[in-house]
This record gives sequence, structure tokens and C-alpha cells, in this order.
Amino acid sequence: MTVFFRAGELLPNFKTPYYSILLSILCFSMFSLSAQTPRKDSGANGPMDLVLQGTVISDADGKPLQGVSVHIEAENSRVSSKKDGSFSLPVQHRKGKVKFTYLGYKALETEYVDGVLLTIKMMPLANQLEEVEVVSTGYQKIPKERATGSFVQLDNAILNRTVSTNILDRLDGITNGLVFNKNPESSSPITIRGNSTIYGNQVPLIVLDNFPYEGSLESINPNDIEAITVLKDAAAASIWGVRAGNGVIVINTKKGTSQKTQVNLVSNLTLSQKPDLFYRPQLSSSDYIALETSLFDKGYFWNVTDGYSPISPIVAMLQQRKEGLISAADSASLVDRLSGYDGRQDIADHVYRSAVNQQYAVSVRGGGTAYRYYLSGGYDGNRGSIVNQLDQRYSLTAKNSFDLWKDRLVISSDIFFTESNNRAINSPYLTPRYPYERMYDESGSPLATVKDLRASFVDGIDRDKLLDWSYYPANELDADRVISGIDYRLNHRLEVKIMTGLKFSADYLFQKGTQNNTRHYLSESYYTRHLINSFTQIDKSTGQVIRPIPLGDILDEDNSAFTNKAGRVQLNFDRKFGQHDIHALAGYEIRDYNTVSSSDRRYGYDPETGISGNNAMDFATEFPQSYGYGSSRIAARVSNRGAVDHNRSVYFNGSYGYDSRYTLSVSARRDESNLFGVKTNQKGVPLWSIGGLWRLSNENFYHFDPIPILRLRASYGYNGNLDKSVSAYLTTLAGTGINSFGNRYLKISNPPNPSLRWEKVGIWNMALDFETAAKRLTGSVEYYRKGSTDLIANSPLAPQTGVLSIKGNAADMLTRGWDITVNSRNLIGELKWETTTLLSWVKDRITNYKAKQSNNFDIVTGNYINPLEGYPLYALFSFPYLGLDGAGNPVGQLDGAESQNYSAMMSSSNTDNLTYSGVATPTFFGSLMNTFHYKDFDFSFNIVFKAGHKYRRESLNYSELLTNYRQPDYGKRWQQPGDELWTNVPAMTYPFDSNRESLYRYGAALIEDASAVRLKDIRLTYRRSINRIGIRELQLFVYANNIGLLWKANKQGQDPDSPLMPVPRSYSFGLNASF
Amino acid sequence: MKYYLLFFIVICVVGCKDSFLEVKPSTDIVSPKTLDDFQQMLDYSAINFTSGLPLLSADEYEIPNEKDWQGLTVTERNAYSWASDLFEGQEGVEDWSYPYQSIFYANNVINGLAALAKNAGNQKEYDDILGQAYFVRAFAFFDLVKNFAVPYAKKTADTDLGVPLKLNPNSDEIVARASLQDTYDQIAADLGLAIGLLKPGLTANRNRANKPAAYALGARIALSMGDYDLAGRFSDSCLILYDRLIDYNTVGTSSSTPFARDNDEVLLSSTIGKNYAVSLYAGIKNTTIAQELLDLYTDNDLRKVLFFQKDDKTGLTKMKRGYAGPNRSAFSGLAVDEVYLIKAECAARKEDFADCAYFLDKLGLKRYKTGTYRPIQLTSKDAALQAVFSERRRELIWRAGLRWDDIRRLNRDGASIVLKRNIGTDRYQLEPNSPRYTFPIPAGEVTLSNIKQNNR
Repeated sequence: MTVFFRAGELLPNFKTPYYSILLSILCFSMFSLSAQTPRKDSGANGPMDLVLQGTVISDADGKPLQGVSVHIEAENSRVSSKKDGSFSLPVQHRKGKVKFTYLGYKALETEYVDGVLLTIKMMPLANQLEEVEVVSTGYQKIPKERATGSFVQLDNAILNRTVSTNILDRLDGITNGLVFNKNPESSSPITIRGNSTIYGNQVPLIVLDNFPYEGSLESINPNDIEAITVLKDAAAASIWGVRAGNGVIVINTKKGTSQKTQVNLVSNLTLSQKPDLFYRPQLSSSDYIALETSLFDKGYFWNVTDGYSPISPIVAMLQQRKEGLISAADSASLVDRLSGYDGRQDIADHVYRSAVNQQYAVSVRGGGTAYRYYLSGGYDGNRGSIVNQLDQRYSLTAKNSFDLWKDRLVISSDIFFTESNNRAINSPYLTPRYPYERMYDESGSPLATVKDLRASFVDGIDRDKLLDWSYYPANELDADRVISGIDYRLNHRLEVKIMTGLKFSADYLFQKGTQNNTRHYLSESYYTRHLINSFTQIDKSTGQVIRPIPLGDILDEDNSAFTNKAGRVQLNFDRKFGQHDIHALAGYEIRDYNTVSSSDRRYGYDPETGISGNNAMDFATEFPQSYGYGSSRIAARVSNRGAVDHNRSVYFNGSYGYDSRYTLSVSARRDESNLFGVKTNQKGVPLWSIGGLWRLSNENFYHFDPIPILRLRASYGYNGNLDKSVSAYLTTLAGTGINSFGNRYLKISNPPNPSLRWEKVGIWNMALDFETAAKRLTGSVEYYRKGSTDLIANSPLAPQTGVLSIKGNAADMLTRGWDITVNSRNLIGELKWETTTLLSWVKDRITNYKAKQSNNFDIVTGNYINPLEGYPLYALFSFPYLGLDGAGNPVGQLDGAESQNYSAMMSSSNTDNLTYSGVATPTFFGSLMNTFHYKDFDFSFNIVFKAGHKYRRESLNYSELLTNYRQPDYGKRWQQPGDELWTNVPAMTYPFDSNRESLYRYGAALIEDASAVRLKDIRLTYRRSINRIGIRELQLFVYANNIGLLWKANKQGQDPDSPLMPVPRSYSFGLNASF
Repeated sequence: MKYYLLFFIVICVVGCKDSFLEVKPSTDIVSPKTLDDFQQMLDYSAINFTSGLPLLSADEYEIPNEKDWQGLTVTERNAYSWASDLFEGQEGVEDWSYPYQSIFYANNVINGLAALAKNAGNQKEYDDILGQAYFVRAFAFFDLVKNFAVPYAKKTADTDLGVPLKLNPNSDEIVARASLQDTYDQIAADLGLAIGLLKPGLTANRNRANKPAAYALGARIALSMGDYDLAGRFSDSCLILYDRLIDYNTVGTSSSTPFARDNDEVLLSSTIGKNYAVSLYAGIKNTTIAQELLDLYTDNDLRKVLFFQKDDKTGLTKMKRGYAGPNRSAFSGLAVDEVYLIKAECAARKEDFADCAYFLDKLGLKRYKTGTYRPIQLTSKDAALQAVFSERRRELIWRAGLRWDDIRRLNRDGASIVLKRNIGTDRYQLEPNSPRYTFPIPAGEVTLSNIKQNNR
């Protein structure tokens, strides 16, 4: 599609109106260059008289452009266009190449012939739809050429390559420096350029249409998104102040255009594989029965005689056998029968299914000279992988924009509306309690399984006075939970041109979201029956039955709502004085984000009438439970909460450019927030940045033809972060409960911390951008260094202080890394082949940690809570593991010597007794995307990799084996002398020794390399235009996602991102049409 | 038009004063400032939690089957066999951290009240809450010192180690262990202040301290220190204010929860904080009350049916719920019956046999079936003390280890009580005044504050 048309040559060859339409469309979207025929007068002038002449005008409005650089590289001559756009440059050769560059316009190179008067139309960058070169910070749009900061720009085409309901998912594998976390300890799904906070909010700031976005990302229809810009360094993100420490993701929705009306249709269908339950290793039914039997003989089931607590059919049988109630033959036949069952089969057949996602969207955009609009509607229907799970989303968007007073005033008003409905089973039966537990018998009738009480109790006493107490998983598959939400957003904008270059704008955002989470437990559901029965009081002498919880349904409702109001006034100044190019903005912003939530529960609820029995109930008395020895109050489950987030900011951002060679940018911002219990002067923090750009290739001395564009960028500045949960005052948690004497009490949540400060992240960024001739290779190399100081961290305190840990400004961290992007056009003929390579290196290290470390067990299990100085935040530590001794006991190391003193190893605080096993987050990651175009077909696939990190493999843990039989390596356990030669899995001992188990569980032997390369996705698109029926473009595509691993470093055959249950592969089919 | 309005709003907001930043970020957060706030902090349900270790270590229960002992948690197992390492490296040991948490709450209340003006209108409440805070601190320090320091002996108390005395809410400050004498002095000082400030009568909320409870705590502490004169005077002071006993003839014997948590005898309600399964009332673990102890009750003793229930299936005897009402955690608070027995013991020590018999009889009459109790005849100091000790075992059973505290002080005074346990074929014996009568300080504390560990 990037054929260079020279209108003067081509136009005469095409006479049909179709082609001229096509041509005009193409011309519109590309720069055009027209040349007049040579003047006939000049005959044989000497070479010294040759002159190149012409005019440069803007393609947008036809006005002449002043200061355009006209450069003939071969002759090292250069001139700038005059006020009327004309230029004149003496040349030595009759023919040659001339290059035009102008800030904010697409550079252009063409051939000249002496004597031909050139009329050059330069294309402003912002108007180029096929090639996005403008980055948006949410406050301004900057031509990438002029940007000193670090941005990743993702356009519509790349975002729509993937199919997903959630816009964020589409960033995976296409955003340099951004990694999707699979690290279970991280609190954010994504990280941009590594970690810069420990306890603060780790989630990058999401900005939607110029304002920080609150609410769920699921409410955004991805088809409405025009482009996403990811801001990575201080120069880019400092404008966002304290919340920018983790990077900023700026999302802009589509707008109306001053063009003919366009209609777009999107329809696609995604099928996902059914989750594979059999992937995860587990104890076989017969192994489990053998384990139960051996533990029964050891007296493990001390509660077997209490008559009610849940026991498995096998344990019940063993007890009956012990009491002589059943014969050896009967018990053996039960063991035989159960050994043959695998409970996963019923769940795979009846609970899981293939997920099916449908997505439809339609949009209309267009406008006239003074009016632009964009209207869209979308529907997503996702049938989940568990039966009766259905997520639906409806979205509507209307955006209007008017130009008034001869374009001096622009008013725009946008409305976004989303409604969502998610239905699911509140507590689906996904894992059998015992490996041999089934949902259905041979004839297909539902089976009762063990839940809260043992079968003999459920079937036994007071059967006539209580409701049926048995649990049939097959009868509990109704979708009893509905989460429905409504979210709407109003964006208003007013823009006034005050004078040349000076613009005033005011923005106002109002967003409101409500969510209603309902769990409706029908009277026949197990949940309701269990609760009613547990509280039922039976008078032993009279047989009278009293039910403190009335019969009927139970309805739980959790309602939450948020309002987000934000206003912004801003002055923009953009003006060019000769060689001096000045852009500045200053503004004031205020934000009020409010959330309220409430919960309640109705007992004895009748959905027909809406009447409940709550009024007649006693929530104060502690009722003895109808089994066991407990007594408790009936949960009222009523609560109300609210939170308020107030922010005020003033900001300034300016850039100065000189002669399209140098740009200097500065930004400053002061944020204030309603931090609790801090002196007023500590409520705010000033943050700033400075950046510089040098367009080396525009220098006169630059003559390196293979790389016509070369830019150097550097920036430094501060972003911040804050944790609103900490306070300088002593604070308590309200509404924590009432004590047993009926008094409301207060629980201390935060010991006083008067020295509390904001977290700060100082960021260095240095970068090189390059572009080779004909754009065969473009890309950038960036180095960054983030020094985070005053990080809020959790410090364990000696228990004598009365507080077990405290959060305070206690840590510093240093993160360094490289981001490299290379786009190459490998083939540019009829078959086009393009490759995008993204490579990122990132390393972080805790440079200072004021808190004292506790013991080695804590470091091994939770270093991320309390990191060790000198190591990465997510460092993995292990106990040295020297294998097994002749009796199957693990051997560790203590103070340099072999040891089996397990408790001493756990409680030692000497870190020399630990092994550093690596870091849990990838240090080297990236992607390789290849795209092929041939005629009407596009084909692309993306290979992503993560490397340099480790994970701790799960293995056998005896003390949890009975409750969690889904553990591997049971077959590899030490069973007899000699086994220690081939296995590391310790022998089972009884009583269980948790320290001994921890040595193995957190031993170095279970650390695996998490590096892996995967084929993330493949897409094949067929596109063509059918003008006869008015279709500008029709796209049909097939897309496959999560295809699988190409290579992995671990020898366990595990996918390190999800060792226990691989992400199911999915296939999408779809069509996009535009009219 | 809309936009003018917006402008107006924006200007308004710009011009608004700093109250915009003073808004509280969440309804969940409260910065305690009022008397009511401080009372609510002292009503926190963990404020009166005490250690379960003495009950686990004492000789009131037995585990007949070795397999059942093996199935217990590490601490339960080690406490039963008096192992030298109780916790095997476990960090968070609530037996140590709960009392310090209570001290932290009390310190915050004491600090907070200092910033609050006292006036004629709030003086009563103010004093009472301050008194409660001092009481909480004394109660918690005593729970710590009796478990984690050696028994008090006047001669060596200046050199024996007590516990760290945290007297301010500053969490940055770490203190070393004070001497045993200083620790007891601090407890006495706090208790003295509490007695002066607290309201004289019992309240419905027995989790809150009151003057009789403070006297009762004084009596208990003085008794443990061997200061019988002081213990006697504290008991008198308590009983003058409040001396009501429950007549067990009026208590239903069929219920598994015979007593209410605010029954007539409870002066201060508290329980073991950490939920050791072995120490629960109506224990579900396969433990039984020691037969030797059960044999102390005669058939006319109502406590035999009110305190115990026998599981016919297993043959094990379990405690019914006690003075903690429906709570299954063992009662560790203060009750009138204990004060009677302290008074009786002090009388016996003074060889005032009539007085001793008076209090024993007064209690006995309420414990035996009507008409079956025979007044006690005391002629020697030994017999009087034996009568009191035997009554203490019967009456104060499962009071979160009062028995253990008694063995400690009696052995110190030369009683030579040797504890024995059989686990399978293994025999365990705890010699009088063994260092194992003092629990080790949890590793988490020793690592982080470097205080001195106990020899054990």
C-alpha cells in the first residue's frame, strides 16, 4: 500500500472514474507531490547556472510553509524556504535527489530535474492515518519527532490484531518494556519497566480520553479505541505526577472526522479449548486410599468418633471395620470400587465446557466542515468455561464536536455508556474432595458427596426435624450469582483560540459506575439448607423445633458505586518564531473520586413478593449449633462503607525547539491529596522533569546516507507514588465488629508514623532513534535507570512493641534496563515482509532497607514482603538442599556443615545459610512479530519470550496431602533404602514435621529456570474492497491465541507461567467491514 | 449554557479552601480522639487475651494414646512433654504477642487521654477509662511475667530477669528485659493507679475492668509473690465491694453451657487467646481430665456434674464450658470464688483457722447439694493449707493454668510437687523448680529485639 504515486505521471493512464476515486482516496492519505512539465526555454546553460526552484505548501490547507529545510545530500547544500514557501538552491548536477524536512510534517525526498519548478505538498504528521507518529500524553499531542521522552505508540491496526474483550490484554507482546506478570506475589497484572514500588499501588496509571480512568477496564469497548500511548520515562509521564511512578497508559477513543460518513462493522467469534483437568498431576484414587488407610492406623483421624465432622467414605469404612460392624470382604470391595473412580471425569464432562466469546460492534463516523461525530455500539457475549457462566457487555458511545466562531471555538461532548451482566455459579464444584468422589452414579443420577458433615450424621439423627442436609454437586450448578454494572462517562471539552498560538481549553469529566452483586441462594440450595439446619434448635424433651433462620431463600446483595469528577483548565501556547519553536502548556486540575458500598442479606426471602424474614430474627443471641460444640450469632451481614480521594494539581510543560535540530523540554507538577493525618505541607509533592532531543541527522555535518534519520534523546525527572492506607496518626479500623459483651470495638490499623513521606522515583532515560534509507530499518535503543527512594515498606517489629509489622518509608530501590525496538521491512515487493523485534532487559535491586530482617524461613517464604538489601525485590531464596540420607530424611546445611536440625535452619537469621536462587520476574523479555502481505492477504504471527527468571516448582508436601491431593511427585517419594540415589523427595514421616517439609519445599532442588519462548498468536487476514456494493474494505480473519510453548528451559515439562493449568488455546473467526 | 456552569464549577473548586484536602479518605479509618473512641479501643475483643501455655503444661489433663499426642500441633506436643524447645522456631507466638498488643492499646489510650481535657462533665468516664487502661497494662504484664520469667523470690528479684516494660506506644523503641523486681514494681504501680481511678461497681460489660476486679488481680499477684498479708488485704477489699457467689444448686445440670459469661461470680472476663485445641472446653481432641483430679470430687459435689461430661463412646472425660459462657476458650479472668480461696489461704497462713474455715464453708455451701455440705474443722496450719489447696484444685480447674501457677509458687516454697507424664512407653518427669517451669521467649522477639532468652 505504500506505493509512491507521482500524480503527474500516473494520472493520464487512468481514465475510469473508479480509479480516480481510488486514487483520490490514496492521495488523501499520503503526501502528494506534483511537478509541472519542464520549461522549454533553457537550452544549454553551463553547470554553474543550475538552480533548483519551487514552493512548499502544506497539504492540509494549501498555505505556504516557511523554514522548510531543503537539502541536497549529494552536494551538501541546504536552504530554507521563505515566507511565501518559495525556495531556490544552486545545484551542480542536472538531476538528483532533494530532501524536504519540516517539523511536524512528514519528511519527503524526491528526484528533481533542473529547470522543473517543484511544488511540494507536505503532509502534516497528525493527519497521517496509516502511520501514527503523534504521541499523546493525555495533556497534549506531541509529534514523535519532537518528543524528548520515552513513548510507545500503539495504533488501531496493531491493537485490533488481537481479539479480546478487555483492551489491556491487547498490549501483550506488542509493547516494549511492558510485561504481563505471572508472578503470584505481584499485585498488578502488568509492569512497565520493572518495579518501582513495594507496597504502593503497582498498577500503572490508566488514562482514558485525557483523564485518569476509574472503574473496570472491562467496561471499555476495545473497538472504540483509536490508539494507546504508553509513557515510560519522566519526561513523558511526569506530567501525571504522583501516580506516574509505574508508567502511564494513555488510551484515546475514536473521534469523528470531517469526511464522508464511514460505517464500520466488527463481528467475531472466539472458541477456547476446554481446560485440561488431567494436566495437573495428582494422587491416584488407590494411592489416596492407601494414604488414608495408613494415616488411620497411625491415629491421624482423631475426630473420627465425634459423630459429625466430615470424614471420607474410606475413613468411615475403616472405623466401621475397626468396630467390627462390617466384614473384611465388604471393606475390600469398597476399596476396589473407589480405586477405580476418577472424580475429574464428571467435572470435565458436566462442569467445564469450551468457552465461546462473541463480539459485535458497529460504528459510524463522519462530519462536515464544522461538525464531527462518532457513534458506536457494541455487544460482547462471553460464555465462560464453567457451565452457566455468561458475561455480557453492551456499550454505546456518542461523540460530537462543533467548530464555532470561524473555528475559534471548539466544543465537544462525549457520552459513553456501558452495561454489563455477569452470571455464574457462586461456588462451583471444581475439585472433588477426594480423588474418587463422583457427581453421578453409573445410571446418571446425582450422588451426594461429603461437604460439612459426615454422611452418617446427615442420614442419621433428627432427619425428620431438619431439612435434608445432603450435598449433591450435580444439583448446585445453577447460576446463583449475578453481577450487573452500569458505567457512564461524560466528557466535555471547550477550546478557544485566543490569539495566534494561544489556546485555552477546559475539560470536565463526570463518570459514574454502579455495581450490584447479587447472590441468590434458593431455599433448596445446599447453602441455605446448611445455614438453616445449623441454627435449628431442637428441644430434646418436647421435640419442638425452632428455626432462628426462617425457611425460604437467602439473598445477599453487595452494591457499590463510584463517582469520578474531574475538571481541568489549561492554556496552550504553540508558536514558531523563525528557527525558534515554542510549545508550552500550564494548567490546573482537580479531581474528586468517591466510592460507596453497602452489603446486606435477607433471610427467608421470597422472590415473588420481595418480603424477607429479617425483621423477626434475633441477631444478638449466640445459638448453639445443631452439630458439634460451637455456638454463634446469625450473621447480619450489613455494612456500609465509603472512600474519598481528593486530588489537586498544578502543572507546567514546555518545550523549546531550535532549527529542527534541538529540542529542550521541561515539566513541573505539584500534586496534593487528602492524605490522612499528615501535615498540610506534606500533603503535596513537587515533581519535575527535563529532557533534550538532538536531531543529529539534521546537522550540516551529518552525511551518513545509510541512516538518514538519527536522533538522540535524554531525560531526567521525578515521578511518584503513594500509599493512602498509611497515616502519620494512630488510626483504627471502624466497624470491625462487636465483642462478646455486645460492645462495638475499634481495632488499631496503623500505629502512628509521623515521618511519613511520599514515594519518589527519579528516572534517567537515554535513547537513540534511527531510520535507514527507505525506512528499511527503523527503531530505537533506550537505556533507563530508575532510582526509587522513600519507598513504603513493611518492617517486622519485635512483638514487644505490640505491633507485628509497620509500614513506613523504609526502602530504596534501583531499577535499570534497556528497551530496544527494531522494525524492519525485509521484503518490499509484491510479497511484503515486516518484522518488529522488541527486546527488554530489566534488573532491580533493593539498595537500602532500613527494617531488620527476621528469620530465614520468612525470607524464603516471603522475601517480597520484607526484601533483603542487595537483592531484587522478587528475589527467590532457598535452603541449600543436599539430597536425602539413607533413611529418606532431607539433608540441609547449617553454618557451613551438613545438618538435619530442621528447626534451627528455619529459625536461623544468618543469611549465609540461604542460597540465592534468582529472581522471580523476567530480566530479559520481548517479542518477535512477523507480518507478511501478499495481494489481499495478511499473515502475521507473534513469538514472545521471557527469560532470566526462576520459579519454585510445587512438589510433595505430606502435611497437606490429605486436604490437597492434587500434588505431584507422590510416586517419586523415598520408600526404601537406595531410593535416595535417584530421588530428592523425602520419605513420609508421622507425625508430620513441618520444618522438615519446609526444607524440601523451599529447598534449592525445586528451583526451576522459568525461561520460555512461546508462539503467542497467529493471524491470517483476507482483505479487499468491493466498491460495487459500497464496501470500502472487507476483512475476514482467523486468529489463534495462546498457541503454545516453542521452548522452555525447565526439564519438568511445565509451562512456567502456569505450571498447574495451561491457559487454554483459543481460535477466533471474524469479519470487519467498512462502508 | 452548560459550559458557563462548568466554568463556574471549576472556578468555584479552584477557589475553595483547604477543606478539600482535609476530607477523610475512608470511612474505615478512625483517628481515636474521644472518650468513646478510647473505650472502644479497650473493648477490642483481644484486649484480655492471655497465654494458654500454663494450661497445656499443667497436670489437669492426660492424653491416653500416644497416637493422639502425635497428632497435636508442635507447641501442644512440646508443652505436654515439657520439651526444652516449645515452639521449634515458630515466629508468631500469640502467648507472647497478645499481652504486648494489649499493652500497646493501653499505652495508646493513656497517651491519647493525656491530650484530652478532663472536666466536670466527663471526669467520671475519663477516670474510669484511664483506670481500665492501667488495669489492662497490669493484667498483661502479669500474664507475661508469670509465664516468661522465673517465679518471684524477694532475695533474687533484683538480679532475675523480668520482661520488657513497654510503657509508651512508640513502636520504634525497643526495650530490654527489666529486672523481675522492676517488673513487679511496675505492675504494682499500674494496679495502684487503676484502683484509684476505676468505678467501684461491676458493669454488665465484664470485659471492662472495675475496682473489685483490680483488687482481685492484686490478690492474685500478691499470692503468687508470696506476700500473703497483702493478698489477704486485697481479697478483703475486693469482697467488701462485691462477694456474690452462685449457688450451684440453681444451675441446670443438663446444659453443656451451664454458666453465662456475665454470671454473678465473674469480675473480669478473659480467656486464653491462642486457640490451642487441647485447651478448649468440651475438647474435641482425645484428651481426658486426670483421674486423680476427678477423684477429688465427691458425689454430692455439684461441680462433678456441672464441670464435666463423660463421652460414653470413648470413655474420655471432658470439661463442659465454664465461666466464659458459650466461649470455648478457657476462662482466665477473675472471679469471686478465686478471691474466697485466696482469702482462705491467707487466713490459713496466719493460722486464723476460723477465718479460713469461714470462707471455705461459705464457698462449699454453694457447691454441694443442698443439705449435704458439712462445715470444715481446722486445727493445724498444714491441714488448713491442704484443705485450701485441695479446694483450689476442685474449684479453679481449667482456669487457664492457675494450677500451673500454683505449682510454681508452691514448689518455690518447698512443696516438691513432681509432675509425671507417660507418652507411649516414654516417661517424662518435671522436677520441682526446673527451669522448664519458665517458658522460652519466642524466636521472633529474640531475633528482632535481641533480648535475653530464658535458660530452659
